Amino acid sequence: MPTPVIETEKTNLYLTTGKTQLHILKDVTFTLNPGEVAAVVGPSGSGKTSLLMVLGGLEKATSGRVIVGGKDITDLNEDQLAVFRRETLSIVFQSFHLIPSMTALENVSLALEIAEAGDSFKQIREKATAALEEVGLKDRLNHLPHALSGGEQQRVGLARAMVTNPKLLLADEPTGNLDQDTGARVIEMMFNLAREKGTAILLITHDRNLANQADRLLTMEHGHLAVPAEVEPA
Amino acid sequence: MSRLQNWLRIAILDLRGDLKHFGVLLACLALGTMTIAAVGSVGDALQEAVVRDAGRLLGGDIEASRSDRRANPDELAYLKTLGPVAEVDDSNGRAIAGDNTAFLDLAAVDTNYPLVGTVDSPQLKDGAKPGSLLDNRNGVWGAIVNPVVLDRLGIQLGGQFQIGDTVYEARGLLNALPDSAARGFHLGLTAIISVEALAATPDARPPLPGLLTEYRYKILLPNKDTDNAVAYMEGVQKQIADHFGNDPNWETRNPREAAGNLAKFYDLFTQFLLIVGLSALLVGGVGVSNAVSAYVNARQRSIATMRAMGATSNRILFHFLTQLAVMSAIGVGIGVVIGGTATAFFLPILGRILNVDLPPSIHPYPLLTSIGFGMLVAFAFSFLPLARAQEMKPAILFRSVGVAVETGATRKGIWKPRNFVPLIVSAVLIFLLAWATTKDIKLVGWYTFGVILAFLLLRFAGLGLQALLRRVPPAPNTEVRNALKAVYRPGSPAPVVILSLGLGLAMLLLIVLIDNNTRDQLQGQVTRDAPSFVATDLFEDEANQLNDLAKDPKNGIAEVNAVPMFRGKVTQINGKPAEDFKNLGGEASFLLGGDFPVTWTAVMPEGSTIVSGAWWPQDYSGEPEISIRTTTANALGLKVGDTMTFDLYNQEITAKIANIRDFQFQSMAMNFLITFSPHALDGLPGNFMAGIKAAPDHEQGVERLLAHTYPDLNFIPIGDALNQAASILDQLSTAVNVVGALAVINGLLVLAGTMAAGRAQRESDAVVNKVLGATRGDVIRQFVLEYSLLGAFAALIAAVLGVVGAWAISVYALQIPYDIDGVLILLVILITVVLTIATGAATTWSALSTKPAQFLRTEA
Repeated sequence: MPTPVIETEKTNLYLTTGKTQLHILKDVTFTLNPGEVAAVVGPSGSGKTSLLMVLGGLEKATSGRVIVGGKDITDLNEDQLAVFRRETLSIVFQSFHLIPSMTALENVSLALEIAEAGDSFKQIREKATAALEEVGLKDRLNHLPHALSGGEQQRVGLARAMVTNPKLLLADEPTGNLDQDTGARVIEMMFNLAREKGTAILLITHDRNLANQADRLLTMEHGHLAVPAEVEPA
Repeated sequence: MSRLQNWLRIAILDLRGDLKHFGVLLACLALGTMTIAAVGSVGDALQEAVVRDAGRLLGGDIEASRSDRRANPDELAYLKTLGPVAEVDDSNGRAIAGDNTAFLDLAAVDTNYPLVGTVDSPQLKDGAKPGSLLDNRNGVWGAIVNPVVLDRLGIQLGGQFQIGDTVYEARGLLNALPDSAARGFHLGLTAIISVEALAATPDARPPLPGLLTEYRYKILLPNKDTDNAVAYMEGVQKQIADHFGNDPNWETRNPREAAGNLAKFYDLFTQFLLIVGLSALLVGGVGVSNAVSAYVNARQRSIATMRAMGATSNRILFHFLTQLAVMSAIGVGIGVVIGGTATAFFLPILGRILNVDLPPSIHPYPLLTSIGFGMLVAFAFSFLPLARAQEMKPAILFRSVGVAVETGATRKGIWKPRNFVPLIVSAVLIFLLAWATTKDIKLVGWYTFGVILAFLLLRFAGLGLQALLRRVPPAPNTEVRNALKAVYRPGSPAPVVILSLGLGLAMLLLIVLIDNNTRDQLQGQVTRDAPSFVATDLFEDEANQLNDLAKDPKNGIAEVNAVPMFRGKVTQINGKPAEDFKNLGGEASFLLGGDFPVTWTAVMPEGSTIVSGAWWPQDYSGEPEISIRTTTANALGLKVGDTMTFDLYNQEITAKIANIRDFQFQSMAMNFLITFSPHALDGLPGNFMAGIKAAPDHEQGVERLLAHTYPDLNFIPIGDALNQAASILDQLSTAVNVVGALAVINGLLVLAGTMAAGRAQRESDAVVNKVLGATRGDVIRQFVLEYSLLGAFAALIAAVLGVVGAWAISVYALQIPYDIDGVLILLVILITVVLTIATGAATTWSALSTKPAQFLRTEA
């Protein structure tokens, strides 16, 4: 049995705003295996994004265990979490979050440079170019983000996320800012790339059609994560 | 490529497209560095001129002098053991040629003169000494004269004139003496004669009773220590004093002392420049801090993205420190280049104004220190905003936050050692550099104390205001209510605005008030009301005749003021013999050295200020009282109520000091060091002293008229010398103005930058307001209300800080009198606050022009 990419056990998250303490995640327990694609659905405010943030080491769980890529990240500090992220996972954002002053090629290269895998500058550029070619942006290497369409920006985001061959890809509403057709194309690319590289995907989405393309469907409601064994047909 | 090289490359690459954020930073650093570079270079150049040209300025390295007689042979022999000696005797004489006269400032020299430099005369070729032209040829002595003397006397070169019965021949024209700066204030047109000629001219004497011929011996020290020139020379001065048994009649001075008042003004000018430089840099630092904060805010999402991708906090810090270092180096570089080259260009101009040789030159040390200051200030003022970037959590990529909300470092986080230790280290380095540059630990220490106090006061004041407004019941008016709420809402820029505006305004006020007082101090030395001529020992009918001459406009006399004049000497002070006070030197020596003129008056002369005591009534006829000058009182250690006893024409008069006052000598009010009350000198055989003011361009005619009308009287031309001094001080005063203005511009730039830095937040708020239905007018009105409150609050604190700071620096560091100009303070505050609000309103107005949809899409 392969080691799960994600393992959580009774994970809770409390957030304090002013004098109020909000219980965002309640005893979340689930696993995700290598290469699996899981979609998390649920109403707004149910805790989906918070779950993604806890798994990505962007938010610290208040209690319980969180093991990602075989590493218990529960008690890591900020810098240790940063190192963990670059060695283990990548994130695709709803708002793309490309560095505006860097070209598509430089944005993708940045991920490799931060990863510090020992590649030379030439090797980094070659890998980044190949990643952009994989997402069909061979002719847009030297364009700045503001010169790219939404779909193109998200493809750059995808290339940036996959170029480091992460064990886990976290995607937060990756098609949220795209039209339907573009969104569908991006998702297809994402799933294909992930399957090619054996990358597990945890995907947050409102889109039921998209969710149904995943291997597993997880439902978040009032901080509780419901984990059925199989995806129900649409 | 190494890891660091990689990081560097990415950091510099990332600068692309974001350079607009660094405009204010570049301007603040460039201006601040330029000011420090210029100030340091000018100060260096002035110091160098005094030390390097010391010999030329004074005509030797040391000058020993006495005013009662020439040095005797033993004394001269001793001085010659120290090095080559040249003698210069200063006196005066009235030259007469036919019907024409000219009052001469006589510089009688020996054959060794000048020891250093050359006399500038077309008749002295290849640096020839003047002695060759001054010898006695068939009973006629030679003279090298100011060309104006020939005009006044109506003679040509080679023509003859007399001083008393002694005949002279004008054998050369004098353009300049090499040691003229050290000769200081002198009356009359300069002429060089030989010391033998002076001894043979009994009618040559100083113009006023009590003034004596100065016998100066200039000595060139052969092996002086140029690295510690001043200390070395002071050592030699002590040696001379010890040899002469501390005889108070022997005075010595080194070149710095010779520059006299002018050196004091150079020092004042340099110190003022240093204060301005420090202030400009500090204000610039506030601008840097705001600019970097704005930049970090604008890059929040990029920082968070990099963190999400796995960049550590050190990587983030390195990334942005690199960018800051590059932009700071550019800003500092621009400042140093402009400051250094502009100073090199202006040095000769400044030198001409200050009558000091300042050749165009680059001074590496001040330029290096200005680079040090610039980079350290850039680091110190930007480190905390960068620390915030370091602490920024990637969670903001998912959470919906305002544009300017701090999402990283909390106040607690700032106190981590890795955040505040570099800050403390850089602050200490700035302090040490300021100390090394100014060599004035008191000035730097108090200034630093004041700055830290100002920071803390303004910071806590901002928090205090927010706490206070939270407790105030909501105002009935919506706009006022929203404006007040905007001040204390979470993420409000109010504390930053109060700190920036308050500090900037305090600095501006500090500079403007010190500028004002410095100019007053310089201008105060300039007398606009000086007489053109002064005459002594007039009889009453001669004084009356002068008044009659003035009534006829054809005579060209604008004003005459004749006051009674008596001669006497001080015999006792507070019942003790005057001999007990004789070793006090300076003005005390003059007063106790023999007869000197005194007067009486019922009405206090114009332009006087009573410092202590009170003036007597006009009809006073009680016991004799006197009014004395502040400097006299200080020299003799006297106060109101003390007594002085005088011998006036063999009559002993004891008078009580009724008041001590300040006044200028060189004015038509005709002041004396000692002034008696009415009737104190009744029955004594006095004369009159008169000041005569010629109408403009009538000075020569009036001089001729007076010489003809009163052939036995000495009319001393005062105007020329005073005009020369006035011109120098006027120019210095203008220079002070210019430098002050530069610092003010820097301050305003920073304040404008503070407003520009907050633009993003205001844009965000403005758009939301627009979406909800507020008009542009509604938004602007609320902004103006909010910032007027912040501005008024900051201005109040800044006014206190600026006034107190200027007082402390003026009185304790610059040691000049301090005056508060309430109108000026109010004006500076109003202009600054209005300008700042106007800039902010303008940027908000432009933000309001953004279409909401465009903004909201970008933000998403």
